[in-house]
Amino acid sequence: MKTAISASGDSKESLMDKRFGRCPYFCIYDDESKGYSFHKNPGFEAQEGAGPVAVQFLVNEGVQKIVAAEFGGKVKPVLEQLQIQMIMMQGDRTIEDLINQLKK
Amino acid sequence: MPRPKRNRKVLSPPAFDAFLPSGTDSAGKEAIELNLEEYESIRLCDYDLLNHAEACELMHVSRATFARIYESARRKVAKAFVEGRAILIQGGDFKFEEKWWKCHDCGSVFNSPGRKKQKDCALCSSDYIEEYSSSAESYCICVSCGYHKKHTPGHPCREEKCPKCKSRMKKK
Repeated sequence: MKTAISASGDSKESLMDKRFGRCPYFCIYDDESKGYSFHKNPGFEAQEGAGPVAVQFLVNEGVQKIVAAEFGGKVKPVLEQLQIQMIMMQGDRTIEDLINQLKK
Repeated sequence: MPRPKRNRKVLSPPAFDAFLPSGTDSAGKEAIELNLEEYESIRLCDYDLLNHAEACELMHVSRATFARIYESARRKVAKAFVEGRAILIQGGDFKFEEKWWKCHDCGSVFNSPGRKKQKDCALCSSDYIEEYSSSAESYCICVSCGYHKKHTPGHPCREEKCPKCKSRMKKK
C-alpha cells in the first residue's frame, strides 16, 4: 500500500508540510518495497483548487493513505468518495520520523 | 421533557484538544468547553466563508438552529479571549459522516474509508486508539507507570490494579 506525506523539501530530513494542497513536495512511501520517493506537487503553483489537483496526481500514483496536518474543505469529500484514508498529524515531524512510524 | 437534540453533522474533528493562553496563569481559571458542533460552525462560517444558509445544510440543522450554535460558539470564544481562559474542544451532540479515530501514542487523527472498524493506528500501528464520538470507548490508565488497557464496563477504573506495577489505575 502506498502512503503520501506532504513534505516541505525533497529530502528525508525535511519537515512535514502543514498544508496538503500547497505543499511543495510529496513523499510517497511504499510499504511493500519499503522504498520512498519524492515528487513535485503539481498543485503547488495552481491559482485555485490546489487540493483537487494534488489529489488527482496522488490517485494516478496509486496512493491509498495521505498524511498531512490538515485537509481543506474541498479535498475532504473527494477523498471520502475515493476511499483514501486521511491521517492528520500536529507538530514538527521530519519525513524520516513518519516513515519510521509507518514501518512499524 | 424536551425533545432530544438532533445530531449535528461534523465533517471531521480538529487535530488538537485545546487552546491555552500564554503569558497568564490560566490554570486557576475554569476552562471553557467548546462543543464540536460549535467548532464546526466557526470553521464553516469564518474559515470556509460560507453563509448561514449553506452552512446549516452541511450540518443537517435548520438555519435558526445553526445561528444559535454559531452565536454560542462566538460568545464562548470571546469569553475565553477576554478572560484569558483555556478552550477545550469536546462533547456535544454530533455525528461524523465517516468514522474518525485518535491515536494516543503518536497523536495522529485518522478516518477509515468504507466504514471499516479500525483496530490499530494507521500511522504507527499502536492499538492505543480511541474512536471520536459522543460515547467513546474508554481506557484505564496506571497512575505510576502509564500502562493502559481497555475499560471493562461495570468495573470502576480505580478498583483495577495495574498488572505491571500493582498500583492503582484511573480513568483516562
